[in-house]
Amino acid sequence: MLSPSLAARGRVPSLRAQGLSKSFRFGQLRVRVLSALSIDIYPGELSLITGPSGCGKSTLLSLMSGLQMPDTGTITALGEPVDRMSPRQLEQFRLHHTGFVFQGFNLFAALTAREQVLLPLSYLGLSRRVAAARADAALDEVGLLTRADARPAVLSGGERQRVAIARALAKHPSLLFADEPTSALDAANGQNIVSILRHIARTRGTTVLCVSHDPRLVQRADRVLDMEDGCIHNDWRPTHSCTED
Amino acid sequence: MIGVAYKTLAYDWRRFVPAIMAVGFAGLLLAVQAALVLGIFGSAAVYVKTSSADLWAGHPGTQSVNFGSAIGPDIATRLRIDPDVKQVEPYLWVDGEWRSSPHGGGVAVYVSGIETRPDGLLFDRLLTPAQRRLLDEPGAVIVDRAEIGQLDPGPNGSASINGQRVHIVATVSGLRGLGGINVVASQYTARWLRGDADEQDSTYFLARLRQGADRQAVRDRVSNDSSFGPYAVWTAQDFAWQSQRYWLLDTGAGVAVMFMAAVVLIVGAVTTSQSLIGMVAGSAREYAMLNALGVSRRSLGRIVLAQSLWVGGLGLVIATLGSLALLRLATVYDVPVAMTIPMALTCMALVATVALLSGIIALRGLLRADPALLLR
Repeated sequence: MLSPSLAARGRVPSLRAQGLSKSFRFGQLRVRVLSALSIDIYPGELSLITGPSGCGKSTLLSLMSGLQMPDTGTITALGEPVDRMSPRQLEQFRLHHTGFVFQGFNLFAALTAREQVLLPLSYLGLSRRVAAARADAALDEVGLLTRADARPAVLSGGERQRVAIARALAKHPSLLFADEPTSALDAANGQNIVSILRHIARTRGTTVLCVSHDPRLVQRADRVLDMEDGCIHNDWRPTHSCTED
Repeated sequence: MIGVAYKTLAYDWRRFVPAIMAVGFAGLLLAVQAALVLGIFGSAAVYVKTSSADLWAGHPGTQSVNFGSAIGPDIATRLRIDPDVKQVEPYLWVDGEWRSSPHGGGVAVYVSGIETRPDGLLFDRLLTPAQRRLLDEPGAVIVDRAEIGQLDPGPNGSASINGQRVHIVATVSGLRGLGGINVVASQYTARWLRGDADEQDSTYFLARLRQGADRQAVRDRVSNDSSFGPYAVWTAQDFAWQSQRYWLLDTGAGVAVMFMAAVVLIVGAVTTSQSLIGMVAGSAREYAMLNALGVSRRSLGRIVLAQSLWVGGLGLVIATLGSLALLRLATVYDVPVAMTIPMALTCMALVATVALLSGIIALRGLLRADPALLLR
């Protein structure tokens, strides 16, 4: 096992959270989910946040990705202060810099795999030709180019998740957030998805921040952040990850 | 740009059927209601619309054709001395009671006493010269064929009006009026039915102008010449509109019709918007995903509005086809309906507005499309 600070020495974090706190109100009860949490995430690696249910890992992901705002603390993504952006600025930031993969695939039933990937690209102002080339390249990268004309109804769970990844990848995001991407998949498909996420980080220099309690991912991650009760209590790097890929 | 609105509609059309039908039926109800209004209230001016007179002279303050009062024969002279007036003829209006048998119940009828010469102005768009000639026979009358059932004449079309024997010599279509059954007779027969055949007064005088004459200028010229007694002159178009407006607005009937139209529109908008909200909510996770990827809520709103416009367009097709079929059926059964291009376009615009408003209301469904809710 390597120390994260040793491994990251000399590198600039692409994501930085400082003093993050977040509470949610349930009726009269106010529950603090994150408490003064600080963390740096680096590009070119698959960082995994893991921990028991309710520990605050998904909340941390939503704050780091700008889907929610912290009560206190700051978030810097690619050098920009996410916590101080307006909703419109946040949408623009997400459009140009971030990709998401969720446990649910959230694909439009009416669209083919290629159209699912093309849809967000159409808002980037790309020409039709460039967008089509990007969509096909992304589908090829996840091994689904031959199924590009298939609709979700005829795709397996693993294939749907790969379409969802292609949809996120085609934008060429600097930041890729994944929330429980393997939970709905069997072992083989889960392994495949993890390999793709890690490959993206390695080959594109993308910052991949993944939340999961799937132990299969721990073995494949570059860095693991163990969370409990709203705090990171262990930050470590599996040694084998340095020799693979 | 992927036409996600259209593709979703084409792929998942069953989910859109309730919304499309809601718009379609709202449009159908609106169009049929408008056609009935135009048909029924338009019949208040059937006398003007089926005549080729350019000007109508009558008693001042006459609100509708059927409320005419007697004016003196000198008015005809005043009209004739204008150089642009080519032809003048009297129109005698007589309120009557039709009885098909001495002991049967009476039916209120409006007797129109007309000139029977072949170039007569009144009802010249409705009656052939041959039918006019038939009216020369004393007691001869013409009625709308759709009214025969209500008039229930005896053998050979005989009956009585105000106690005088009359008989039906022909039936036509398009003579139905508002408030009573129209009966066309000659001037002579009409005066005889009124009981004062020797009087020379008239209810209206109709004038045809020379070709190219300015109707409004002639109307202004021949109006309000006090030396000829009280009278007023209207252009045919103004008098027709005045008669319809009275029935539509001053009787309260029009307000009721407009209230019904508003109810139809509101019900259509509520039903359509509920269906659209359901559809948006059904795709909330997909919309949330797009928003997470940076597609703005404004862009997502455009998808919803595009969907509602598709729904509106398809609803409009259903409404148009349904209305055409129903109006055709109504015409076959002599139901008084009429449709004009401006009214049809107004109905279409209202239906499109309903669809658009429903889409705007359905935008609320996007509130559920919060990408943070996609996280476990």
